[in-house]
Amino acid sequence: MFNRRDVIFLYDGSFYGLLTVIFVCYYTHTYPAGIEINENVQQELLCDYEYIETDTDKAMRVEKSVLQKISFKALHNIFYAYLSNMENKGITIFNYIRAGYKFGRELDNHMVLDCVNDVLKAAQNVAHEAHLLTGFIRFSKLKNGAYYAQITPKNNVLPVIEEHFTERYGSMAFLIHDTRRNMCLVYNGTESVIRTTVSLPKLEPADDEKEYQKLWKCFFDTVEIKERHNEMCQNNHLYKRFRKNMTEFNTY
Amino acid sequence: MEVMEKLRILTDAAKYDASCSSSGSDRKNTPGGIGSGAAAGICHSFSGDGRCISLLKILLTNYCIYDCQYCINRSSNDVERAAFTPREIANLTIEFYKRNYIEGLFLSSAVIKNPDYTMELIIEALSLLRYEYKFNGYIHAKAIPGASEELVRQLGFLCDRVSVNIELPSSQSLKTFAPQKTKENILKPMKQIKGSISQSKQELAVYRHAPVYAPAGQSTQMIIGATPETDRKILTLTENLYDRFKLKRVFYSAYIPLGKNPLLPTTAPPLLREHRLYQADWLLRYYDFRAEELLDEANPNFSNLIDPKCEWALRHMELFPVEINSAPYQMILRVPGIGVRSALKIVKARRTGRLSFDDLKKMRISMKRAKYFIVANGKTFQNIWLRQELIKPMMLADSGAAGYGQLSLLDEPTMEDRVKCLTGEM
Repeated sequence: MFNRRDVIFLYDGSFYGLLTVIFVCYYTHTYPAGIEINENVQQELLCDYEYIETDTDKAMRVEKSVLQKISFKALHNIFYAYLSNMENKGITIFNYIRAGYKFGRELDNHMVLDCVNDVLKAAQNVAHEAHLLTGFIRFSKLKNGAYYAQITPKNNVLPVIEEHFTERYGSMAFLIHDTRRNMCLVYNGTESVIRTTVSLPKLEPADDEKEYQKLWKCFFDTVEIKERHNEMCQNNHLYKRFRKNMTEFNTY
Repeated sequence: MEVMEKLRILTDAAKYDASCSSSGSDRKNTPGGIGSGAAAGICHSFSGDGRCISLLKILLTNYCIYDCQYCINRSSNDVERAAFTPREIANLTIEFYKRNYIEGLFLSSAVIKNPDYTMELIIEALSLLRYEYKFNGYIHAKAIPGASEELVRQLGFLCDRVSVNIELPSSQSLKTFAPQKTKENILKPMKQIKGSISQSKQELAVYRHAPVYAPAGQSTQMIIGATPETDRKILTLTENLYDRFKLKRVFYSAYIPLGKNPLLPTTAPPLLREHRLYQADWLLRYYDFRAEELLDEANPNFSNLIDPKCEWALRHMELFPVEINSAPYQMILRVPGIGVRSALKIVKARRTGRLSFDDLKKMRISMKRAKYFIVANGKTFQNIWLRQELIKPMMLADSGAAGYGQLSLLDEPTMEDRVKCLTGEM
C-alpha cells in the first residue's frame, strides 16, 4: 500500500510532530526516504524535502490507534525511542508502527525484526540512562532556596525523570538543566514544566552549600574499604561521562 | 566534636557492613513530606572499591560494650570513638537527601550501655526523621540482638528494611569470637520480625491504611573466611534463612584482618570466595537451585576457576545440550551464561518463529559460555564439536585467552593451571 518516494519529511522535533508525519505517511500512502527533525538536516541533492506542520488532532489519532491496535507498551516504547539519540529514529519508529499493525499486541515478541529490535534497544537505552541519572544527579542549593542540577545525558531524559523527582521532592523547588540540549526541567513546588533555555542568570550557591558538599565528600572518601580498592569495578558501574556533574568527583 | 569529625569516624566504623540496597519498597511521598521509595532501588554513587553507595551508611555510635574479636569496634580495640545525636543524624540525612546524594539512611550502631538503650536512640533518630521531617525515603536499620520485643516492634514500623546480623556462620564460631552474643539472641528478633512482616501483610489486605511493617523485608550479614566453615555449610545456612525466615537477602563479607585474636587468620581470604558465594546465592533466589545441587559432601567448596552454575552444568552433562526452541523455561534458565533476562527473551521470541544463533545474537544474548550447552534447530553454535570431556578445557581456555572478566578481576589462574586444564589434569 506504500509507494516509495524520494522525499524526506521534516517535523518540528516534538513527539506529536513525529506522529503527525506518520499520519501523513499513511494518508498519502508514502514510504519516505527519511523522517528528520527540521533543524539538524543537511540537504541532500537527490531528495525532496517536505515540512509537515504539527497537527495535534492527527497525532492523537495515531496515538489512539497504537493504543487500540497494538498496545500501551508499544506507545511507551515509541515515546522512549523518540527521546533517544538513535540514528534514523523517525523511519525506524515508522517501521515499528507498521509492524505493529500487522502483529498487534504480540509485536514486542518479534525481537528478531530489525525495527522492533532497534526500537526496543533505543527505548531500553533511554530508560537505563534515566534510571542511572535518578541516582547520579547532584543538586546544589541556591541563595534563593531552590536546588539546581546540571546534566549532560546522551538521550533526552528530562521527560522520563520528571515524575520521579517531582514526586520525591514534594514542595521543594528545583531545576534540572540539560546543558547538552539547552533544556530545563523547572519545578516550583507544585507544577513542573520542561522548556528550552538559552542562558540562565548567574547562580549563587547558598551559604551552607559548601559545607554539605564537604561533608558528602568526606563520607564518600571514608566509606571506601581501602583494602578492597577496585577501580575497574567502579568504572564499570559509574561511567566517567557522568562524573563531571557529580559533587564527589569535583572540587569547586 | 564537629559533625565532620563524627561523620568521618562513624562512617569509617560502618563501612564494613555489606548491605547498601535500597530496593523493595515503593513508599509514596505524603503531602508536605519529602522522599519516596523506588521499588528497583537506586544507586547514587560508587566508591573506590566498586561498591554502590545508595544509603547514608553510618553508625549512631561506635562506643561498644561488646568485645567481638573480628570487629573493628570491639571494646578492647584502640580506635577513635564518637556518637551522633539523633538530631544530627536526621538533619544530615535530610540535607544529603535534598541534594540527591543518597536514597535514604542505613543506621546501625555499636552497643552503648545496653541493647535497649541503643535501640531507643536509634528509634529516636528515626522518629525524628519520619514524624518531624516527614521523611518518606528509604530507611534500613539494624535491630540490636538482646533488645526488648517492644522496641523491635517499634523499629519495624519506622523502617523499610530491618536486619539482624548473624555475624558468623556457626554457633561454635560465635562462641569463640563473640562470647557475649548467642545464636538464640540473634535468631529471636529475626523470628519476631518475620512474624510481624507476615502479620502486617495480612492486615494490609484487610485495612488499606494499616501501618506497614518493614515493607522491604529483612536481611542479614555474615563474615566469611574468619572461621573454618566450608562453602557448603554457609550455603545450606543461607538456604535455611531464606526458607525459614523469609529473608530478602543474605550478605557475605569476606573477613578483613582487623582482629588480634591468635585464632583469627592474619591474611584476608580471597575475595573470589565471597564472589562465588554471591553467585550461588543468586542461583538460590532467582534460578530455582537448591544448595545440595550446587555442593555436596565430596565437593564442599566452590572451584576458583569456574562459577557455580558452570560447575553444576559440567557435572550434569547428561541434561545438555538444550534445544532453545523447545526446552522449558526452567531448563533454559539453568544454561550457564543465560540469565533471567535472556531466558525470558528466548521464550518470548520463540513464540514468533524458530530461533537461530543469528537471532540470539541480534537479541544480544551472550554466547560466550552458553555456546557449549545449547543447540538451535539441532545445530551447535558455529558447528563446534561438543565433546563432553573437552568442554571444560575449552571454556577455561576461552577465559584465559580473552582475559575473561570474572576471573581477571580476582586471582588469575596461572599459566601452569591453564596447561593442566588443557591436558586434562584438572
